[in-house]
Amino acid sequence: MASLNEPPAVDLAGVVAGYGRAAVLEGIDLRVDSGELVGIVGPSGAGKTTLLRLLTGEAARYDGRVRLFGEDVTARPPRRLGLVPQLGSLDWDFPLRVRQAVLLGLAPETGRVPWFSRPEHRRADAMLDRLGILEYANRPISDLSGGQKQRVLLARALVRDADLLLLDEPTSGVDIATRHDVLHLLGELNADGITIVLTTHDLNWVATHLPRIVCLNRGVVADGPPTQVITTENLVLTYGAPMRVIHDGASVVVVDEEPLVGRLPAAPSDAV
Amino acid sequence: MDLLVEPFGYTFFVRAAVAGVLVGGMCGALSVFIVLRRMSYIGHGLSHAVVGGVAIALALDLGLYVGAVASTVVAAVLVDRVGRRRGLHADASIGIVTTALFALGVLVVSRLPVRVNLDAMLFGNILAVTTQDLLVSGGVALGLGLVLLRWWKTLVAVTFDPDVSRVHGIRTAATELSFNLLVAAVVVASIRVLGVLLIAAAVVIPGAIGRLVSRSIGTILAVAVGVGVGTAVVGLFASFHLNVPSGPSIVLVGAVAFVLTYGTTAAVSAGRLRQVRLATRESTT
Ligand SMILES: Nc1ncnc2c1ncn2[C@@H]1O[C@H](COP(=O)(O)OP(=O)(O)OP(=O)(O)O)[C@@H](O)[C@H]1O
Ligand SMILES: [Mg+2]
Repeated sequence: MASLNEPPAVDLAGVVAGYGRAAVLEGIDLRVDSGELVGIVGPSGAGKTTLLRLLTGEAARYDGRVRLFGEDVTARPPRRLGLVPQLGSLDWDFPLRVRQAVLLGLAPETGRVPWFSRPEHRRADAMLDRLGILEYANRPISDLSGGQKQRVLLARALVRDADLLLLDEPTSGVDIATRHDVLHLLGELNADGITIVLTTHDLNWVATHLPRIVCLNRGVVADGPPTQVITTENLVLTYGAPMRVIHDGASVVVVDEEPLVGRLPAAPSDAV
Repeated sequence: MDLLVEPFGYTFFVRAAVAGVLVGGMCGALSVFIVLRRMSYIGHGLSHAVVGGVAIALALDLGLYVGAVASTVVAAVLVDRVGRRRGLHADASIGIVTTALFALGVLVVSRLPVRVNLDAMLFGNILAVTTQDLLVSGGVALGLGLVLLRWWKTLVAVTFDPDVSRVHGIRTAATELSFNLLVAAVVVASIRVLGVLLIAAAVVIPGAIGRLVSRSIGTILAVAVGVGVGTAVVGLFASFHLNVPSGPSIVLVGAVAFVLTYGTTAAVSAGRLRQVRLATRESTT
């Protein structure tokens, strides 16, 4: 999809990064071309969020190269970046209506008057429509469900015509149906040419749905399509725990090596 | 009727009324962001820093406003710096920075032979509003109005989500520092009318009332400015007729307004719930 002379959307080479103490990420080489959809998986503390923060200029880079669209990441992130934070990081009681929250995505580029222009409203509404939440445009954001909130954040990132979307755990805290919807939506956006990098805890969800995944644990352990990347060896390297991988046609399913119950002490028989 | 007209026979009251309207409106506007940013003690802290600055300025024979401005600017910048440190929130940095400046002022006052009318400074004194005070209030109000008009969307975006705002290209750090400096300016301009001890309430109550009645930030701003101006005017009349300091009377009027709003909104939502329950029961039977 990427043309030969277009620089990659994300280009990390020999990156060592952290938060001013010992490095959290080491020896990261990662290239994401324009138009790709990539999932980052790894255990808690692996550095998934840190990797995203590196791209937004929030985590300190000690060494190596971090480029977005061919430009070094500096304090001022590029215009083409859209960020979707974790749901829990925001105050959802904040007195905003859905449309207003989405319009805030245009705040960096809007005019000098205190209101948003008609064309800006149309852009926001088109995005709300696209994400299926136009009917909630005038609702306070506090009244939304988790999935709807997720869409508001997506719309806010997309309304500014972002080419590269970064999402930190877009599916945590939503139910299976919503998770499916969000994934479907990301697939559609990706089909429209938007490059997407997301992190997730959900191996099976990622494994069965994304074209490319990156297993991360301080460094890149494996990288490629799920059917190749998700192997028992890679999972041991990434998670440090044995897991069984079941291949079923084109998809893969990861299960615990042993059933959890088997590892627990046998319950006394008279227990309820 | 006389009660309303009579005070305007006095020049000092006219001046005070103008100052009160300006100060009430400014504090009301800022209170929206102060409440949303959970930094309710910023007014309390900065106004204490003013005491320090004024004392030092008097000791050095500089103007009142020079000391007030210098100390609040220093305090606002330090509060901003300290609050940026991971693990410290605005409340901690406000508590440390501004109280230290207050303490410094008290020390200076106790060591040097300066006479400060502490009462007027602590509780506000409408008798003392000078033309210079009016000019300062007017200037700050104009500045605040222009900033709010020009940067309203930026301020809302940064208050709601500073991290994403920064990534999306807003200069978040500069916005936050500017906001703190604005608060400092408003505090300086408000001391004469409200007094050091009472500014804290004036920059919280209107925003809190706004939040009770609306879930849309624009409406909240309008309500807060209205409440700020209204409580200032009513409070000034009370101050005149009851012969009490203006600060406490304005704040008490605000507190009463808050209690009334709180009660009314609670009653309204309880009533709504009751209606929905009734309707549900009727439709199921
Ligand atoms: N702001 C910070 N300052 C210092 N260390 C941090 C900071 N944020 C994260 N870390 C450390 O960096 C490491 C990686 O954290 P990160 O948040 O990137 O992990 P993660 O893969 O996103 O985990 P999770 O799946 O739990 O979200 C952790 O060991 C964590 O302790
Ligand atoms: Mg994380």
